[in-house]
Amino acid sequence: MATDSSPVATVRSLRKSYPGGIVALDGVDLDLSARSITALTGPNGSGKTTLLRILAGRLAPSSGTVKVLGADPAGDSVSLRRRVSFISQELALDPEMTGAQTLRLFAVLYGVPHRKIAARIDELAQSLELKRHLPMRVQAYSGGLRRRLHLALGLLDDPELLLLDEPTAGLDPAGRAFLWAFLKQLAERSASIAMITHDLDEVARHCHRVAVIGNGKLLACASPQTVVRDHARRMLRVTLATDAPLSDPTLAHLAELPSVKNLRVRGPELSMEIFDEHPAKERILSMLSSGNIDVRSFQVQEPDLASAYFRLTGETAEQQSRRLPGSARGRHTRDGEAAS
Amino acid sequence: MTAAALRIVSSVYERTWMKALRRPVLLSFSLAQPMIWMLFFGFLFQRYRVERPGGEIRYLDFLLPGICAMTILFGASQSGIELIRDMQTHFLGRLLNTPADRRLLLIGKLTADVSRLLAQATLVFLLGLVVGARVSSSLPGLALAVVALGLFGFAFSALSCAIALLTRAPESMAVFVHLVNMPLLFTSTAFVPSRQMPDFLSSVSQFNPLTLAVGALRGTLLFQEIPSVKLSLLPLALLALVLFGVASAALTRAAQD
Repeated sequence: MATDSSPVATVRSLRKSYPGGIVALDGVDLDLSARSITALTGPNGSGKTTLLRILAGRLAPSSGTVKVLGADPAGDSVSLRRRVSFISQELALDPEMTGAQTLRLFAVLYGVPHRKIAARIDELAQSLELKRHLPMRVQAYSGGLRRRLHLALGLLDDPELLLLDEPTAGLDPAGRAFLWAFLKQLAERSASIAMITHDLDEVARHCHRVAVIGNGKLLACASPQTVVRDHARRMLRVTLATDAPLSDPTLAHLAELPSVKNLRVRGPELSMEIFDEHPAKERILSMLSSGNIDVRSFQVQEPDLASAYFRLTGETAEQQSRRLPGSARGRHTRDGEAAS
Repeated sequence: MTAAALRIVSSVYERTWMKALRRPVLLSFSLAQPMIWMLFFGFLFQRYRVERPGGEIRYLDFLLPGICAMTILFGASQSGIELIRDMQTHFLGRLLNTPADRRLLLIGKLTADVSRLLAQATLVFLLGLVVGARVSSSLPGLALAVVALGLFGFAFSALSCAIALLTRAPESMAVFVHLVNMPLLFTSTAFVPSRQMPDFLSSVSQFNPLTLAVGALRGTLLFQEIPSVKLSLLPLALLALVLFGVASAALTRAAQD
């Protein structure tokens, strides 16, 4: 999909710390391209929502510069509130109002011209498949309908930048597919979208860019294909026929094979990154069989966004986790001894 | 005010009324309370004569304007509750992050609250007539007294909203009743004329905004006086303006959280 090259938002050296010394964001640089979907992903507590809230002007940065559509979002300007729509993860709806009442109220508040309100509500209700539910009170809506109405409110005035915090949370597969298709249409038409999501398969399929955030730092930001190319590795998963743990010398030997990296042990399952599929697989299997260790199954997993994600965020987490002692230090970990 | 601004005010006004009507229990409680006070106080003190130069006034006649103003005061203190509910559902944050001028949102809510309070006070007034209160008034006098009550209601609804926005706790509304309403009520001329109060209380009552609202209504209902713009309406308008400013600032602060 083609996107405009000029950024709609630029973030430079962004740092946000909270009282108590908690650093939510630490030196983040990021550009959001026009007419594109950028996914923000990372472990819980990594700083994604803080970043989105700063872009939306809901939170002031501790230092660094942020420009959204050429303006400082911390200025809380009416013009930015009109051009940027922040749609929080919490469903901010009044259960006692009907869908129609809610949309009408927000259309007025967003300054949609009076004569266009009915048509705009009709258009949105049509495209979000809300129409027949509009006369009902929101308290009677299903979770998926509520999320669609929640989204519709943010679209009433055709925002240029849409900031979404986990818009697919709580949706069933059909609801997710519907929402992704809708967001793609929006981006193709005119809107720029930045969204927090953990749905990596969908990110790979639909997003133009993905920003992986971990421990307040931007770990990668590029197209999903580039992130996979640069950060994902082919994984080999081996399930042993026995529950007895492998001895430390065997593990160290495995970890020191030249085509193996980041060996992890989880009960009878071993997982490792491999660089050359066939020689590595053969070497590992022959090493295990020479030690009389039976293998129940093995599986090669091709590089994908999920493996890039785990590798990127795992590296950050590993810095904080306890490493195994001995010669294999840093090359292999047992279950529970390394965070992913 | 532009047509767009008027539409914002009227949309919020409409929603506030809709929410109030969907809570008949709260609505009837804030109406029942002053009615009970009027019946109890009115009959308990029916032999109590209010002195005035050249005669006396029946206590029920004297009490009725006080109870009407009390209805406004107690009803106004409930205004913030709806904002707390909106904060709990995150709906308020959503409203505040639209491009609409936040002061217009507040005006819409407060004018709806004031119209509800005046409607409740009217019902209390009619009940007072049913139980035997005797009053008479001129139309201009009554209109200005209603304006005084409206300004008073606007001011204390704004204060209630400011407290709700700053504390974010429903319990704060109960504290409001005890720390603001009760002292205000018993240091005013709502139940007792100032000349029959202890001296210090009589002095305090002169600066009590409830006294100004009660005085405007009582003056016109009992003595056919026209409420003074300078001594009644202007101070109440200033108070309403100041408390509206406080509530607006609290609303802007809430938008940042």
